[in-house]
Amino acid sequence: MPTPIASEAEMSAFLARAGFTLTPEQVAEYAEAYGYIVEMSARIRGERSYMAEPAHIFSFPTEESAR
Amino acid sequence: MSTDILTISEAAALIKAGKLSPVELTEMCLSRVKAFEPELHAFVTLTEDRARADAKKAEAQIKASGPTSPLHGIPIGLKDIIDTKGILTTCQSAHNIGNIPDTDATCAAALDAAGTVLMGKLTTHEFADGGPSFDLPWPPSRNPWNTQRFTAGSSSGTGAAVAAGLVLGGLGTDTGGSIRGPAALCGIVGLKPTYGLVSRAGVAPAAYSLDHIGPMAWTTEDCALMLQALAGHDPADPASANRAVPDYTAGLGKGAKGLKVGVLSRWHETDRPVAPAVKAGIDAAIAAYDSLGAEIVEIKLSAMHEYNAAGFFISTVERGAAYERMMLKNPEKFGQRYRDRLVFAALCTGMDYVQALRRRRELIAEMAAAMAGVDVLLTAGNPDEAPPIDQVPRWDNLDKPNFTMAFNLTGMPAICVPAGFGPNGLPISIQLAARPFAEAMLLRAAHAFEQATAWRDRRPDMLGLAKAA
Repeated sequence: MPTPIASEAEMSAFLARAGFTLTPEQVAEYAEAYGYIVEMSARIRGERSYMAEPAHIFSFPTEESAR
Repeated sequence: MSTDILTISEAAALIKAGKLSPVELTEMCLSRVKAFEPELHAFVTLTEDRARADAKKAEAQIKASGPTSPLHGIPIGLKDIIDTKGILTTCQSAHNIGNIPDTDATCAAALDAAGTVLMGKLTTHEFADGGPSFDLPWPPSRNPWNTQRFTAGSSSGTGAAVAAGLVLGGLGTDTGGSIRGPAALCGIVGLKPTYGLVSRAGVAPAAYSLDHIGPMAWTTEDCALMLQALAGHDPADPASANRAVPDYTAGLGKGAKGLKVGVLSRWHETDRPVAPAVKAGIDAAIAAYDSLGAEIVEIKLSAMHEYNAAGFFISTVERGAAYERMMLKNPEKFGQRYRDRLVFAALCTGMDYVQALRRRRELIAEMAAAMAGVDVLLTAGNPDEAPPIDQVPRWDNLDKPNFTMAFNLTGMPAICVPAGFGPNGLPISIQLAARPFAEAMLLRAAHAFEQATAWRDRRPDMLGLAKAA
């Protein structure tokens, strides 16, 4: 099961910021999904090296020619 | 090989020898469409007149000077997020009712230039994400192996149409597994090429930096033939790679002797344990490669969850940005499942997105390092057989990691190849992946496995399907 959500108020604030209008019932429906999102958000946090900078191009750091 | 439904390479050989005409072949496909489409819902738009015109044109050209490519006169279909000049392109959405593009997508034009016969536009999930949906203007496609089962998505119509022989090949798009998922569940071959190899120009975006276009067909060889016509630089796609296109069929038939196959056991044994039939399929594939003379090595990567989490934020936020205006203006026009995905975008922060991009850089480096020592990676295509179509969880992209997203995130090419059947008689699949732009190697390895097994000899029980209809 996902991490319990911080609050439906937090979700409502995000949705309002995006301009999305949802009823309290609809917000409640997304509570379970939001728990998963919070869990994944924690997973992508961490110490990163300089080489993890999101460069302005899409490239393969160790690209090799096809064999 | 099955004799009642031809593969592209079989049909091409017969056409070249003058033993089969494109008109005859197209009529065979149209007759199957008439018989099975009422149950399969593989097409949003059947372009019957266009198909007959294309077939007649191809026949005349071939009679005059022979086929110009192995795709000349071959009936194909296009996922309905691919623009087609003068032909309805819906993205399976009420937002696009009446949308008729005035130009072809680059990939559609490439197949047209190769002489293919366009049979129509194939069912997808709304804007290529979130299905199956039952609240859209068109129904979801059904799996030809059992019409009560899911095809996976979002290239669902392409998966169903190829498996049922309504077309000989088709195009799918893949942002987190949308080519490989339907290929795995419909028992066909689906190739997601390297990011940038096939132009995305004229194809509706799902998530800009994860979107790929690729072939889906009955065999690996057919995918190679299609990729040959699709690959190449296109200045109209800002992510298009500018590099030489090799011969993708060159390695077919060279076997697997001497190849190094890296097995990602952790993913299918620990991170997301697969069904026993899928595990048996993977074990049999390892044994097949071993008997073919390949060297099997164990590969260790981060947990599948790591790849999926970064992919989730990138996919979700890029999708949200692409469809923000539609969501603000007419949210009611979206089906519930796609609207869910856009709501998720609002629940992600800018910092989530950038952290995901940074994590992607690390994971690309990790996977590139692992791939430096092997020719292909081997993992599962899908964790189980196709589920009942009405039992796909609403949060299916959140609660468990999938086996496909990692290769969208890293941009590396990956292919799903049939590897047997489960206890319900439904297909199961393995997935192979290779270094960037190593599609020729990937196809060689996939072809060697395919040739060592008998899984391409069995088609869905079309007669039973006809009776059910």
